[in-house]
Amino acid sequence: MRWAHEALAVFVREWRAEWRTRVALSSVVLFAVVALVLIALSLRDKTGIVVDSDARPSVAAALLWVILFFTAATGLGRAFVQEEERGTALALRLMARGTAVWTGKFAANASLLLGLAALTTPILIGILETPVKSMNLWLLVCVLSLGCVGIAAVFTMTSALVAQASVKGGLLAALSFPILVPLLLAGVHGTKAALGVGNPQGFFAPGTGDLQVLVSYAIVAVTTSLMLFDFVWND
Amino acid sequence: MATFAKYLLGVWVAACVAGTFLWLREVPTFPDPQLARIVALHLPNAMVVMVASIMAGAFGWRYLTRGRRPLDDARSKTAAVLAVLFCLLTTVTGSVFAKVQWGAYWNWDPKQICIFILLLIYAAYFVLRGGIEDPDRRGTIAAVYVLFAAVMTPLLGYVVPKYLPSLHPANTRFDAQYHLVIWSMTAGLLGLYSWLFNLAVRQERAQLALDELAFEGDF
Repeated sequence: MRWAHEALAVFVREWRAEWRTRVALSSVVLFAVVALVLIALSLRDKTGIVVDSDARPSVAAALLWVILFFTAATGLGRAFVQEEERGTALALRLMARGTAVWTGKFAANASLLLGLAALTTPILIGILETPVKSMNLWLLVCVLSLGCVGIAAVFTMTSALVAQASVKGGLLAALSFPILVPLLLAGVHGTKAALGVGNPQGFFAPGTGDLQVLVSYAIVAVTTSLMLFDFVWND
Repeated sequence: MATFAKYLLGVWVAACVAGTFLWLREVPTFPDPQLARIVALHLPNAMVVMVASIMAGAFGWRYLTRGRRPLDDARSKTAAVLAVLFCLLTTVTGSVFAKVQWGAYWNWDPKQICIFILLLIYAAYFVLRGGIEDPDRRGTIAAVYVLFAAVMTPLLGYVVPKYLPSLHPANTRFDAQYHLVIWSMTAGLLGLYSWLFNLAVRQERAQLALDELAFEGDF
């Protein structure tokens, strides 16, 4: 019970500190806006959207996951870097167990990424004028939320590693990408299915295999991180 | 004794290469039956990559759990360096094979993707190591990353073939001749790997001792 209390306290503190400056929040939102505007400008010419209407769901799925991955790389890296820079890591070590700290940070990252996905996805679908009739909304919500949870778990772990290194910027994406490939593949495939590729009625069934992959990935990522995090934290 | 082992290893690997070129039969089921022999150069390298990756992870685990001895970190790093070396050899032999049999050096085949991602992981691993000054922190962080990657990457083997078509022949049945050459070559390359590993670890051990002496000399 104490563990849950500690994790919750870290989560609340994370958002409270974020709300004071709103650095991560605004940088992530701005990044997403810039990416979306760039996509909208580059996929348009005088005749309208240059992508064939059959290909739009696939293009939307691919671009959505590219945006999610890189926004995560810009926004979620702060989690442990800040503690080292401000010198607050020691106080946090005294206050809570390693696994509770990881869980609180992970929950904060996951909620940030989920909010971002909820903001980005409808805009991207609107920009690409993807047919909404063949879309399965529930499948889309399940795939995206599970994907965000998995991405947040991996980035929380890698940002704890990167916080110790002198080069931080590009390293986070380089460390996380190879580990995230299975999740990204399943996420793109599931999003395509949810947007109606090879599935004109928008059924749920074509995406269940992807959901299985995403669920097992998230479970493995969270468990491994919890087991390994103590080695990084209590040093 | 050591010199004898080195000569034996040289003769052994040379015999394997000669066997690959002169003794192995062509395989009519491949588009280019003559060049199917490349398998005997490709597969043993991939097996050494697997052994080296497992050793990098195992020594990382030993570093974390058995009192963080610098030598275990050095062993883990050496295994990773050699894994990259044999990874590159596997990629090159595999690309040549893919070119002559399937028409392109790179096909985004699941196994090609897996080996490419393994290379990416090791590249990130060495950049991460390069970015940390303190040797103790470096050892810990590197070991945690190697273990994290070691747990997450086997998922690739299950996930990637689910989404992408494969050109690698499934359930190939090698005949006895191919088995003999491939396994002898694997044994030879593993011998070469352990020799390189041993040399590099001895050098690391000497370096560690030297650093300690220099550290004591400061006071």
